[in-house]
Order: sequence, then structure tokens, then C-alpha cells
Amino acid sequence: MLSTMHPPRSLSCFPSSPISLLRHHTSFNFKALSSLSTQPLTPTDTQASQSSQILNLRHSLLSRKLTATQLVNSFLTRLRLTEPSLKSFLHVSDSLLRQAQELDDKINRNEELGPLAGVLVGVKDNICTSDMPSTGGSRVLDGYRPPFDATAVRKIKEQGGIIVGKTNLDEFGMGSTTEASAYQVTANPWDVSRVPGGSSGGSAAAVSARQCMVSLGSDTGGSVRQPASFCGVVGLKPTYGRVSRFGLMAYASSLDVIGCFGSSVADAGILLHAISGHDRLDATSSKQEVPDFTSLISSINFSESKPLKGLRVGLIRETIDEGVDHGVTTVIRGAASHLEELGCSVSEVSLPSFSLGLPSYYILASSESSSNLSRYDGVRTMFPITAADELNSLYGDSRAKGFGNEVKMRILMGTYALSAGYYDAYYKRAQQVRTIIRKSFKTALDEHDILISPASPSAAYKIGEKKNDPLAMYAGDIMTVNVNLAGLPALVLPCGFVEGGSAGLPVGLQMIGAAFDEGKLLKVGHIFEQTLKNSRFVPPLIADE
Amino acid sequence: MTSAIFRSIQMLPFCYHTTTALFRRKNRILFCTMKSTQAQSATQEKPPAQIKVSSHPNARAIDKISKDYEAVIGIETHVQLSTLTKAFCSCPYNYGSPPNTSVCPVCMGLPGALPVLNSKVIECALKVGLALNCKLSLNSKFDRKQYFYPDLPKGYQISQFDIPIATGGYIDLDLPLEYGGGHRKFGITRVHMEEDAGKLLHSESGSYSQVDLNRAGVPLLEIVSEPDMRTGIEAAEYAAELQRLVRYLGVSNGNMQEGSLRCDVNVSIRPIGQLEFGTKVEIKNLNSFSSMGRAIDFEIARQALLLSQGRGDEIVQETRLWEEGGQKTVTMRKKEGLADYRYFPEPDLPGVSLTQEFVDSIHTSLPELPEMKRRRYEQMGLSMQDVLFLANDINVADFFDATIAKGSDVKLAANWIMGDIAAYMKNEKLTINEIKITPQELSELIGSIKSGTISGKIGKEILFELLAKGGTVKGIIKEKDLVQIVDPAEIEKMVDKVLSENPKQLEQYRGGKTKLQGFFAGQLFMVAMGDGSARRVMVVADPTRESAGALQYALSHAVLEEDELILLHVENPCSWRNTLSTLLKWPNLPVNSISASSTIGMEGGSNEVDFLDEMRYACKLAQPKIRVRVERSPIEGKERASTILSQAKAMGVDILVIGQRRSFSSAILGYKRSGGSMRGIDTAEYLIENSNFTCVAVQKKGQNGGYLLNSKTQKNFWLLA
Repeated sequence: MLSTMHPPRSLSCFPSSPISLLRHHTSFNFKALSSLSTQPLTPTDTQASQSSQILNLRHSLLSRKLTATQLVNSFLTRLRLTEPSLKSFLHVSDSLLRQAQELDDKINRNEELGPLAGVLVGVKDNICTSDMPSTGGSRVLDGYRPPFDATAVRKIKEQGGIIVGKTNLDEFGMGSTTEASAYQVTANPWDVSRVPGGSSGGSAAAVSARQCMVSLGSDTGGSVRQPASFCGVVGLKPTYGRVSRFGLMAYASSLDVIGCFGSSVADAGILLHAISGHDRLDATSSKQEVPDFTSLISSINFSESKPLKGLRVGLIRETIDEGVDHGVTTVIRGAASHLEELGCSVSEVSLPSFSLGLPSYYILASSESSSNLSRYDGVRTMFPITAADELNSLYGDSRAKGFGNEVKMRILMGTYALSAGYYDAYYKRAQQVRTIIRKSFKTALDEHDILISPASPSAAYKIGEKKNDPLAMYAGDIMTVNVNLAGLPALVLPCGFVEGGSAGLPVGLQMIGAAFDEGKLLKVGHIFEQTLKNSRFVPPLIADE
Repeated sequence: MTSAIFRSIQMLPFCYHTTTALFRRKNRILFCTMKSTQAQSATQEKPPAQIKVSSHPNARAIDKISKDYEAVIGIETHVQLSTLTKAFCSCPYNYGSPPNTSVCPVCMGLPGALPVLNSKVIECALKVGLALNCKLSLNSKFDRKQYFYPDLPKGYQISQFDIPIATGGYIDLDLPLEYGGGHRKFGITRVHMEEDAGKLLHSESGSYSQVDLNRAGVPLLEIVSEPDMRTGIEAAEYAAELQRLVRYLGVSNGNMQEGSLRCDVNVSIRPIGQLEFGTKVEIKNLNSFSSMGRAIDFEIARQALLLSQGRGDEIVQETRLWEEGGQKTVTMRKKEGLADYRYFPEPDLPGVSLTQEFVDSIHTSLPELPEMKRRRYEQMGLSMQDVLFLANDINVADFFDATIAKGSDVKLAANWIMGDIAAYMKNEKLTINEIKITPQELSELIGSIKSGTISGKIGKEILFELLAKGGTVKGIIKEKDLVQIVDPAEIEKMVDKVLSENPKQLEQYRGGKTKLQGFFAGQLFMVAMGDGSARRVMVVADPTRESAGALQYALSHAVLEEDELILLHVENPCSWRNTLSTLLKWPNLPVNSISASSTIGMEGGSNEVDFLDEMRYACKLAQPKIRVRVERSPIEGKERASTILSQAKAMGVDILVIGQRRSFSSAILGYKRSGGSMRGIDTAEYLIENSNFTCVAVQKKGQNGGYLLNSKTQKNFWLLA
């Protein structure tokens, strides 16, 4: 089946050798997946698959093979080892062991467990948590503790999940490298000299390095999918409105969504299921019914030779054109072949408006952000106070000192785009483009069940490489911004490697579905992942332990 | 002043009705001033607007100049909606709460918090839009209006920009007659929804300010008028009509002092005949309709003076502040270019999509609006002044409507409400919802008077009872035995009785002694009060002129041959009166007058027993056939009146006659009698009020002036001698 795939030769076998720490963790879990499905799963190569950490954990806890305390300890050990070089967390909870103990007590009392019992979740720091600081990666919110949990966080807690800590990000989600954090630069676990992507770089790196099992990110223009691709993890950007934005610090309200990271498609799906649904605190959250992604995934029948028979897949022509790394194109074409092997009919599809997405996105996102960030004015006492003699200097000083350069630049761009006399030329035009893009996706998705593309034109690049070239960095978002403009769901999952680092750099395949059709993406993604041979996406950082 | 006039009327019993009418006409406007009814009409607060202009040193000159110019006035009104919760979060809003106690992450603009529209805001906006005859946008949206200010926590205000919920309407109003009257129709440009900002509290030293976000996020409607108004009065009446409208609709309390209704006025002037508008000036800080009118007239005069002096370029586009103290407008800020609010669609809120069915359901649920009500009242035949008064306050209008719904005569109901009820409300500082009388009972009262069951005067008495204590008309009539005999047959029977019992007097009358008319009237009065059989008549006996008059009346008019007459004297050895009388030789005083009656001779002595003997003697002289009894009673407790009452009751008296001093207080406070304390109420009034038998208070009017009688059923009945 893999014969049609062409990963870089030197990396084709990596990482086939079992990793000690991971094996410790997974050795007792091989049957977990199959035990949950109605029929025994028969993936072609169980060893090669990315198994669900969440389901395995549940099995281990319930069968008393592992206590929550043991679990937390092992993750904390790994976190302490890896964090100095990764810097993926801005804050780590100090109550993890207490929460683990409480869970163990619960298990010992045979109490019913929530669907996420014991699941260790990292949360991007622009998502509000009442028991931990939430800075959005910005100085302007240094030390700020919100009086409330974001709806997504509240739901995770209610279902038994344990919040490990707050992950690093580009300030307010503005960036593609996590270098724009006001606090620290996060490294890519596959090569610590490289960026993890962004803006949810901390959440991606943390899952990649198994510092937590799953994590929450936010995706405004690709901030979940691009770092997922860079770090070799699964990243899921849900349909706009699927997950409540309440508690997510707004960057561009019409584009922002909270997304999920996992080391497997199943985990990302389980986490999405936990946080989805209408929320009366978010008027833009959808009342669409939330299917049970978990059982949807576990009910997949692997006994068929072509489990995706009849699925129409469109490979977006504009995403494998010029400007995309050759290695990436190769891996993506390989992934397309793999889909064909699974029974899909893959054809190229052109989205003529594709290239318009980037300028449209940057105008709309900057415009909205210039408005959304107005509230950081230094007036309210929960934010750092800058002493000032008069009102304008209070505003000026607070914002000059509070915001980083990237944020300031976007505020300036957005303010300009919304100014009288420019509104029609910029904001209004960008909205018109957005409508065109939405329509062209609609057309393409009428003819195809899913669309595929790379998640990024390149694999992870070096820290500092694009720091002084914002346009180059912005251009890196070409693969992802269109999806946000159209509000569609997209799943990124690692599908191969390109050369780079000590062990190669992972490349993510982006699958785009129709609105609220995350179920289809998860199903296809799960089958793709479970049938992908000879690829374990575990970074060398923890393989070296 | 109003109340003084009102009181004086009651002192003039004979011209009561005409005076009332006069008084009503004169005082309509004054009546409306009362704050307690909560409704104000623009012009009802203070004297007319011209006053301010005339306070200007060059008043006359400006008046003259102003005639050459025409003002163009447009008004932006912010109406705070009285929804239970704020526009975009679930915080309640109560005016006057301690700072920052009605706040949450949403209205504080905390990171991550999102607005969710309160659907009541849409309903309110639709109601107002429909009531203002606007075209509604079925697909509307919210926008962000961006500017920095400490009372604006998000750095933007959620508002509506290019697609307001309602556009292109108009409002009808009737100018008060004092200002020439007339109907006006002013255009409404648009109505849109937005949120209020917080409030800045400045320290006294001025060195710092604090922010109170309680008001942040409270829903507002901004109503923008066409520049259709030409005078301060028109502008103020426009605002007053808006206030009435929102109160009728129940969408706002419309209170200007609390800032629930805020008006910003744009004023420009142009030479009469010119089509182009002049440079407009915005005026803020208008806290009442009257200050609005005065501020506009000041501004018109200011601009006219500048134009006439060739200093038109000094009129610049600016915001001016109305200074109530100085009665003038002053520059607040000059506009340097247009503010750029960088409006863009609010991405946190979905568009507002309404179905025609929903709009229709709101439309059918609209109450009768002020304009409709005024037209209906007009058609009922009420005068414009009555119409304006009744329709001014929704609660008054509702009360009126409910009263006439019970079948009341329209004009009578209007008169009662605008007259005595309004006066009572004003005196007691009550709203019409707080008084005890119900429309049902007012209707009953009006019906009872109209049918003649009770007299108008009694009706008034019952009204005050109802206003203060509630209850029913029937109950009070029964309780106090106030029914007026109206059946002609019954009256005829009584007349026959009197005539047949007094054949001698009848003969004399027929012989030309027409003065005897009074005698017959008195006899009839007594017959009507009693049942015609032998009765026990008590006269309160004191060594006073009043008492002598009372006895005189009783003997000549009240007592019939079979009756028993009791002279009751209440002794109060320790009273101030006795002490005083000793010192001032009080009993001397009445001697002359009483002796002048020649019936009762009284020696000028201080021995009280003497005068009682004299009185008994007088009785025997006048009515030899009656039995006369003298009773003395020590005073019980402190009250002379209650002693008399209890004695009269104990003796089974049918008629009690007591002399009454012509008292100022009794005339003024006539209706305010309450059963409890007698402080300030004279004995006779107390007895009339509290006796369950007939009690007649007698004032002798001079030598041949006859008697002025008061009883429960008769007020100030003048019985000619």
C-alpha cells in the first residue's frame, strides 16, 4: 500500500525503532483501541499506527494497570526534561498531582468517570483559565488571571480533563512562529533550532514532545494547522461556530476558532467532541448537532481492503504550484496516492480565488484585531497600570509598552484599513473577496467530499529565519487562511517527512471538509493515519531520552 | 398658589361650580407642573422660553433681529431601554446602584468575553420604530463605533451604522394652546440600537477620575429627527412627545433627570427664505424640556445677533454646553475635522434577521399611542386642553379610559380627574396609581351624582374619602347615611305633612307672609331628617352667642309639639376656656346679642346655672307643649365633642343641634376631616362627621339673616329667617 508513497529516502524508516519512554507508556495499551470497537480492528500494521492516548489511558485507569498519579508523574518527568529546551509552556499547573490523587480516589471508590478522566490537556495561553494566569503571550496582560474559564476549558474540566498548563504563543495569536511571544521562544521538538510554527506553537510542541496528551490551540489563519504540520502532530480546525469562542481572547472574531491538537486523529476527535456545541455565551456558536466523533472513529471497519471506496478527493492545484517546497509537494502527492490506495478517487481541483485569500485575510484580520485590542487601554486595574499625567499618555504609554512589534504593526494596518476613505478600498473589498472564496470552496466541495493540500508551503524553518521578513512569514499562511475565510473545518495530520534536522522534519496533509462535516475528516484522517506504514511521528527529542 | 386658589373656592360655597370651572381653565398648566404625576409636558415645567432671551441685555434688539431669521433644529435623542438586563450580558441595571456592582466580564470588556444580544432590545426597537411610523429593516446588523475613552471599556461601542433597524418615519404632536396650539408632524430620520457607556466620577480635587461601569452595556435607542423644528417650543414638545411615546410603549421610563432620555440638539439659523442650511451648532447638557427650549432660543438669538452684525463667520461647527446657572450656552469643544469612528460590522454578533410575522406580531401588540389617544379623546368631544391633559400621562389616560369604560360620562370623568383628583394627587404628592380610588368607583360616584342619589357636594366628600381610604361609593353612602331623597312622591308626601301640621302658618303664608317660606323649609328639613314621629332633640347649651343661636333655631324650626328637648351642658371646670372666661369675663360677651333676640334673656353673670335656667325658660316660652330637660355632664377625657357625642348616644337623641362658630379652618379643611384627631377641627364638624343620628350645626347670620345650616347631607344650607 505504501509503495506509492515517496518519503525522503534517508528518512523512510524513521522512526521505526520503539522509543523507550513511549514504549513504557504504550506497551500495555496495544489492545485498547480494538477493545473499544464493536468489531476487532484490523489495521494493516498495528505497530505503525498512532494509537489514541486518551482511549488507552481510559483503559489503563479502568483496568487499574496505571494510576492517575503514575501517569501525571511520568508526564511531569518528561516535561521537566524537555521544557528547558522547548519552552512550550508559559505556566504549568501546580495542582496536577493533587488532581491526579483525586481521580485515583474516585477510581478506587468506583465512581463514574468523565469521558476525559485523567486526560492531560495543554491550553493555549490566549484561552482564559480561572485558576491560572492567562496572558495571551502579551506583556499587556502580564500576571492577569481571568475571573472565569473559557467555555472549552470549562467543558474539559467538567469531563474530567486535567489542565497541565498554559502554552506559549505568538502575542494574541499574531504570528506563525511563536517567536512573537512577549515571554519566550518555543522550539520545535524535531529540531530545537527550528520554530514550532505558530501561533499555537506551544500547544503543538507540547503534544509533539508528549508533555501533555492533547492541547487546545486557536486558529485564525492557520495557527493550529501550520504548527501541527511543523511539529508532526494532528491539528484540527473545526468549523467556525462549532466550538464556543467564549474565553478566547479575540484576535479576529470572524475568523477565530478554538482547535485541537493530538498525537492521533482519534485524540483530536475526542477532544473536539468534548468542547463542541452551542454556547449561550457566544452568539456565533452554532446550534448544529454535534455527532459523536469518538464512536464514529471507533466504528470504522478496517477489514475492507478499500475502506474509503468512492470518496471523492480534490487536490487543490494552487497549493502544489510554484512557491511550495518540492519536498512538501512530493510528500503531499504521496499522501494523495495513499488515499487512492484506500479507494478514494483523487483529482486535481482549481480554486482560482485561492491566491486572493492571503491579502484578504491580512486586511480583515488586522482590521478586526485593531478593534479587538482596543480594550487593552490601561484603564482597568486588572491590567498593569502605567502612571500617566493625562489620558492620552495613559493610553499611549500602556499600549506602547504593553504590545510587541508584530501586534503594533497589525493594529496600525487594521486601523488604516478601516479609516474613512480607505474602508471601501480595503475592508469592504476584502469582504467581497471573502464571499468569492466562500463560494469557490462551496463549488469545489459540491464536487468533492474533501479537498486536500499541504498545511504549509514548507516544513519548519529556523528560528529567526523570517523574523525580519514579515511578508515571507505571512506568505507561509497561504495554505491555511482560505479555510478560515470560508469558515470550513480542516484536519492536518502528519503524512511524511522532508529532510532537515537530525531526523527529518514532518510534513502535514491538510484535509478540508464541508461546514460541520468534521466527522468525515476524522474518519478519513483516522483511516489514513492507521494505514500509514513505517511512520511514527515521535520527535527525536524524546526518542533521545 | 394653585392650592391657595383651590382652597379659597371651598370657602365660597355659592359660587362653587362657576369658580371651579374658572379655576380649571386658569390652572390647567399649573396643575401639570406637579412632579408627582411624573409626566411632564415640555411647556409645563417653567415659564415660556422667551423669558431667557429677554434676560439678555439686548433682549428687545435680538427679538427684532430674530424675526429676520429662521432656525433649523434637529434632535438626537438617546432613550435608555428599561429591559431587565443589559443589551449584551445578563447584568441587571438599576439607576443609582453603588459603582461597579452591576458588572460582569462582558460589560467590563474583559479579554475573551463576548456580547450576546438581549432579544428584548429588538422588541423595544421595533415597537418604537413602528410607533414612529418608520420603515423597518428586516435584515439589520450591529457595527462597532470605535473611539478611546475611559468609560468605554472595549474601546468601541456596539451600535448600528449603515443599516439601522428603522428609518424614515414621523411623529405627530399637538402644541399646547398656551403656545398657540396646532398640530405638528416632524420627520424621523432613523432609529438604531446601541449600548450605553459607563460613567466617569471626577474627584473634587480634579486630580483623578474614577470609572463606574454599571451603565456600560445598558441598551439605548438613538432616535434622530429630521431638521424639521423651528422653535425651542417645537423642539421641547418633540422631546416631550418622544417621552410620552416611550412611556406609552413601556420601553423606557423616559426620565431626563436620571439620563434615561437624553437630547442633543443641533441648531442653525438662516435668513427667512433661504434654502441652504446655516452652520449648525450642537448643544449638550439639556436636562429638562424647559432648559431645552431655553437653550435653543438662546442659541437662536446668539446666532441671529452674530449674523446681523456681519459676524456670521463666528458661528462655527462646535459643541456647546447649556449652562443652567447662567442661562446661556458656552463652547465645549470645537470640531476639528470629522471624528473617524472607523465603523465596521460587529463580528461577534450575527446579523439581525426578522420575519414579517414577528414584526406583525409586535405591531398588533402595540398599545394605543398618544397621538391615537388624543384623536380619540377629541372625537369624544373633549376640548383640546382636556385632551392634552388626559393623554399626557399614560397612567392618567388609562385611569380615564377605565372610568369611561365603566359607563361614565366622558366630560364628567375628565372634570373629576383633572380637578379634584389631580389636586389631591398634587397635594399628597401621589401618582394616579397610588391613590386609593378605582376607576370603577369614580364611575360609580359620577353615576350616583348624575342619577341624583347623592348631591354633587356629597359626591365631593365621598371622593376624598375614596381617594384617601378607598372603599366603595355604596359602602360610604350606606355607612354615613348620605342618601339624598330624590323621589318626588316622597318629597311631596313630606311637604303635605308639614303643611297639614302647620295650618296656622300656612294660612299666614297665604295671607302674604312670604317670609314663612323659611319656616316651611326648616320644617321640611327636619321631617326629612327624622321619621316624623316624636323625637328627642338635644341642643348643646353654653353661655355663648352660638349656643343661643342654635337654641333659637331649634325652637323655631326643629322642634315639633310632641318632641322632647334636652339642653346639654358639658362642664369643664379646669379648661382654659373657663379660666380665661373668669379672667376676661367671657360670659359677658354674648349677652348683648342674645338679649337682642329678646327670646332669651341672660344676665351677665358668671354663674352657668343661671344661663341654663334662662334657656329652659326660653323654651317654655317658645314651645309650651314640648318637654324640656336640662342635663349637665362633666367632660370625659379631653374632648368636649366626644363627651357630647357619647351623652347624645346614651340618651337616644334623634337630632342634635349645636351652635357653630364661623370658622376659617372648617371651611378650608372641610374635606380633610378624618375620624381620628379633632385637632383643628371644630366640635360641630366632629359631631356631624361621627354621629349616627342627625346633627345640625347652626350659624346664626346676623339679626335677620337667618341660619346657615350644616349637616351630613346639607352643606352650608342657608335658611332664611
